[in-house]
Amino acid sequence: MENLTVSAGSEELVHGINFEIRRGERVGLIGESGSGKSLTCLSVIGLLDRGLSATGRITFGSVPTAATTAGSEPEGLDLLTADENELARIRGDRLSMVFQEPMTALNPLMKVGDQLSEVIRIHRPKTPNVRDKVDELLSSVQIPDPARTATVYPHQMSGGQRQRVMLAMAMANGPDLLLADEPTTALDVTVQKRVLNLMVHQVQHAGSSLLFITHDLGVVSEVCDRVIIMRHGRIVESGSIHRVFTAPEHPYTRALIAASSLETHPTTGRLLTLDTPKDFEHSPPDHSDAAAGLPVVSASVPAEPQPEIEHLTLCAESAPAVFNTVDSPAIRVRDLTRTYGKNRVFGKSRTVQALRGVSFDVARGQRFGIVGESGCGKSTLLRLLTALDQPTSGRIEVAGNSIVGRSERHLRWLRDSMQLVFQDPMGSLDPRMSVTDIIAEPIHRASRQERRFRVEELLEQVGLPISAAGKYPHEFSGGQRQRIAIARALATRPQILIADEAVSALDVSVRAQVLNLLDDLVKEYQLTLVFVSHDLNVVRHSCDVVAVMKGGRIVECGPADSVMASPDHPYTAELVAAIPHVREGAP
Amino acid sequence: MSNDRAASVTTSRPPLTNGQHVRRRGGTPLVIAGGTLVSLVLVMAIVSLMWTPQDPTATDAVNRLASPSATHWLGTDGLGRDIASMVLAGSRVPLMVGLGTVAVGFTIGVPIGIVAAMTDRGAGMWLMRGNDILQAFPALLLAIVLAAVFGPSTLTAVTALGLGLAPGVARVVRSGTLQVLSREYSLAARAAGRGPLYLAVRHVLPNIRGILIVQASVGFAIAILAEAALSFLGLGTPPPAASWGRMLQDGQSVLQIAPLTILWPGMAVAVAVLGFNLLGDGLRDRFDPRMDVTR
Amino acid sequence: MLLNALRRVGVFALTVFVASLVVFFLLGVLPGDPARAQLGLQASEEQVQALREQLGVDRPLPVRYLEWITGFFTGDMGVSYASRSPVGPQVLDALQVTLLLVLGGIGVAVLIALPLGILAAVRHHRPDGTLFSGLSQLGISIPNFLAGLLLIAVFSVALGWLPSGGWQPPVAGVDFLRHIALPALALGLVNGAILARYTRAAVLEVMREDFMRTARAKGLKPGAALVRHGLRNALVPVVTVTSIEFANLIIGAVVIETVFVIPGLGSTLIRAVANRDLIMIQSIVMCVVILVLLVNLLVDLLRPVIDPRLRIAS
Repeated sequence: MENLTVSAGSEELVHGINFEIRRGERVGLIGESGSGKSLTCLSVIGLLDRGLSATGRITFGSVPTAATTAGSEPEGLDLLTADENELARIRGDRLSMVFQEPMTALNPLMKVGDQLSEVIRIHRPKTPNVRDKVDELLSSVQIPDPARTATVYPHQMSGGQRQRVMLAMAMANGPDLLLADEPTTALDVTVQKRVLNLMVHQVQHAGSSLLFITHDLGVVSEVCDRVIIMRHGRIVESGSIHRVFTAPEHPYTRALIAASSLETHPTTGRLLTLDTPKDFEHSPPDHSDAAAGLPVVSASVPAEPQPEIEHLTLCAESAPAVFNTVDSPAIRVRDLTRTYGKNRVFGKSRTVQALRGVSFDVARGQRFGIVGESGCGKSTLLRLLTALDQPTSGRIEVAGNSIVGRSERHLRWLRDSMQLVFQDPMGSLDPRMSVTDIIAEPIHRASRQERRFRVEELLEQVGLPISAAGKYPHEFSGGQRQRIAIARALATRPQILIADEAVSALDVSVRAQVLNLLDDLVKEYQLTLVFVSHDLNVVRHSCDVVAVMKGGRIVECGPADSVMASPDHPYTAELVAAIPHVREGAP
Repeated sequence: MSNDRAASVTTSRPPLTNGQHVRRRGGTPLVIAGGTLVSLVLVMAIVSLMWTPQDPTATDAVNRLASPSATHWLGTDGLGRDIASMVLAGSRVPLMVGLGTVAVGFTIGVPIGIVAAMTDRGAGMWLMRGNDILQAFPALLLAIVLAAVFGPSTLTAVTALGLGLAPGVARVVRSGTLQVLSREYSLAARAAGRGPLYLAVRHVLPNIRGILIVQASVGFAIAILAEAALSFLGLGTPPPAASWGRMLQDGQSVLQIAPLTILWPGMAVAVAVLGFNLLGDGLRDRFDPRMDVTR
Repeated sequence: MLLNALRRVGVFALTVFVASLVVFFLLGVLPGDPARAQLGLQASEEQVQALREQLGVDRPLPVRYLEWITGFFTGDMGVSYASRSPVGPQVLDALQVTLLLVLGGIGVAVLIALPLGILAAVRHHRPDGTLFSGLSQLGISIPNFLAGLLLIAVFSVALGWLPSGGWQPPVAGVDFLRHIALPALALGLVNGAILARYTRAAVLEVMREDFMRTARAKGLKPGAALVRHGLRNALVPVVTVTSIEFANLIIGAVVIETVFVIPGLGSTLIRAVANRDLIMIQSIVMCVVILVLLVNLLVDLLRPVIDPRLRIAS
């Protein structure tokens, strides 16, 4: 495996990059959206989309020793010039790949076992007892009851299980090189942890090399020996994990590391961000410089006196506890349950308990974080809090007023005092509305003049130019869109802001900027913040109190630092342990 | 553009791509070709209002089945009527029927679709059930029945074809509306205290505009085909109004001796339908890259 | 899964019931007095009254509905207003003819559509793929009766190979085939063009799926990947569209039967309309609606067999 140069696209997207992967080496390829990392990966396996073309050389499998340089001409196979037959022969056999989306990467109409045995039969048609081999593969990726699992269809499996099947499929023939393109991005952290461990174990066991594509520095430091950092189609820096993460040379790398581990500036306490992109090459290697994001709002906002916050844990199946009790809270939730399901005329009715008895308070001015993995009920909870859905039972009070069972006409005060910021910066702004109309949507009762004034004021506060007002969402980047969404949420000067995974879809560098902005605005507007995320790290940074949810319940709640440092509930502990950390050193 | 491309390939969490939000430049040649053909038919209709080479209804017992000549550009039919004039004049009825059908179909289908989507679990379910039953009555069958009950006329044809178009429109509008309602901007609007009417007018309609345009175009094509079939069966717009379908019917009776009489009206129907089909396809590529495969 | 199938059958029955109400009231109530319509304005009130009693239209509506609908399902569909002969046997005969014609049409359509659609999808970036798209576009723009006329002009008038119309029952063997060939082709060509377009779209869609990339990454060549993983997935939407096309074919047959003078449901219906023979129209329309619903039901039941995701686990 040695030296490759790739450039791709009618317009160059990847500008002549060189790297090599040695036998048994695990290399991480890191970059943010648009850095060309996936293109690089796809050109290795020759599955670039039509319309994209790769030139250069990718030489595969020939060099037994490592001491080769670009100069020597080994007789390996050039993957870019190889014809379809040659490629088909090595794909799935000596070169295999795991894709990002486990939900769509398996054929939905074919049993899992058949899909696995297929990859064996393609390359080893005479393999006896393929059935047993399939069971063996499935158990090697720790799938319980492999014989039964082999006969189910992909839709009957969870995302984590499907990704394991993908891994088993990729490893079935003991490949020389495994390509993994963001294989765990779509998975929950605890599942991610297990899949990553498995992957490393499998690769080591088979003596394969690994090229691991990700945007997540934490993940890469857990999986790889060596890391390559890409940006705008170029390699910015590469080296061993230890060297790159402890002594990064390039300012971009430094900034990336700072942003992804949510490092804060020593004096201002603000998150370090990537500065305006073009300045990188020239910016001095000092963190504080990169930290200058937005104008800092005067720090003179008096800090709310924080009452003593109790750190509580749900004891196994005991009476549901009330978390974070305070007097005259901004939000009070008691015994909240929500059951989904439909009663059918024919057949049994099926129900899903999304929330099973949740009770907590949020104090005024508090920053309250809710953490949980997919399906834990956090989205349902948010919909109930914002009165977009009605609970099956239980009470919700906002500033002392119940919001359950009220008609929309009686919720007008709530609509003004509580606003939402969503996860997806694409979907949260109507593409057919101008920015002015979007931001002014919640203040439709104001006069035209007032609205325009307020929109301009808000744009300034979220760090966008006034000229943005007449534009449409597609003219903005993801981070800018999220700023627009925040501006809309603040239009009514609400007391409570609910942020639903507000930074999860953003690149790490942008994430830090948006978090800083949120921090500023929370102070300026003296907001009560309810921040929902799957990412404990982000919650720890942004919140005073964190509640951990699992299976429709809060299992633990307390001051953010205390929960992170000494988790009581086993699930919280697992969650904390599963967070991939940027480790200063190879695993 | 290529940067977008790269982004779409490499984003760590791909944004939920929604067909009609992705503006694509594709489909332009189809739109131009379709637009040209549709314009041609429109021009024919407008010209025929003011002028035709001959009176399209005047029969001429002497010059029956005449070959093309200076007076009869495309010859005459079995009754000696001028084919060119009839083809020109025959373009009016299909266009009117198309317009009426789409109007009726949309007036019924669009509100049903939107209301059904907004009240998805309650009334919406029953609305769609009713819609399914209506869909079991194919448009042409409905038109034949109405023609039987009320007598053949443009009005019955338009009513029947419009009723036949409505369920399909309602179905497509409902799924489009559901998509818009599932977007976070709709939630944001609701969280801002905006009511269903606002949602329908400001968010739903602008965002399903593409779907509606495509449906209108396809509806036109279907209506023109159906109108031709009805006229052919003698159940469309009654004489003396000229009609391509009836010209074809007349042509069949003299097919043995003058097979070319069906050529021109046949081409006229095909051109009109092709125009609207191409236009619909082009616009679909533009607004909605995913062809509506499942109904 | 069985429960689900039963539910669908239940919904089907309910839909048929509601549809029958619609048909009955549309044709039984709206048009006014069928006896007066038959006899004309000159007839005396006594004559009209006598005919009313004879036709049974003087009794209350629910009774007439019940009588009609039970009669319909037992084959006793009443007496034609026009010919005064029983409707049932006529409808059943015509139904047989139409079914044969429609099956022939769908056969032709599928035979054309599947191979061409797949081919066009696989070669969509080449000139022949584009050519095919253009042809199918032209195909769906031609009304089926025009296709029928053109076929007659070529194969009957110009070449004299096949009859220009008429019908022979299947027992007639070759003669049956000679008579069904052109109408089935006319039906199949147009509907085949539509089906081919959907097939092309479905295959293109599938070729973009992630699991197709997985199949390639496993080491399957593009063709093998399409055959082993793509086609079955593409079949799911194609089957649905085929059912819709089936319904369209039944309606298309109404017109085609008129072109080729075939004694099927369609030509009988058109004759009944001309005679304002409402009881006949009622029965035929009901027949067609049930056929359409039945095809939908069959496809609904068939889809879970193809697509395991639609089998609801219990």
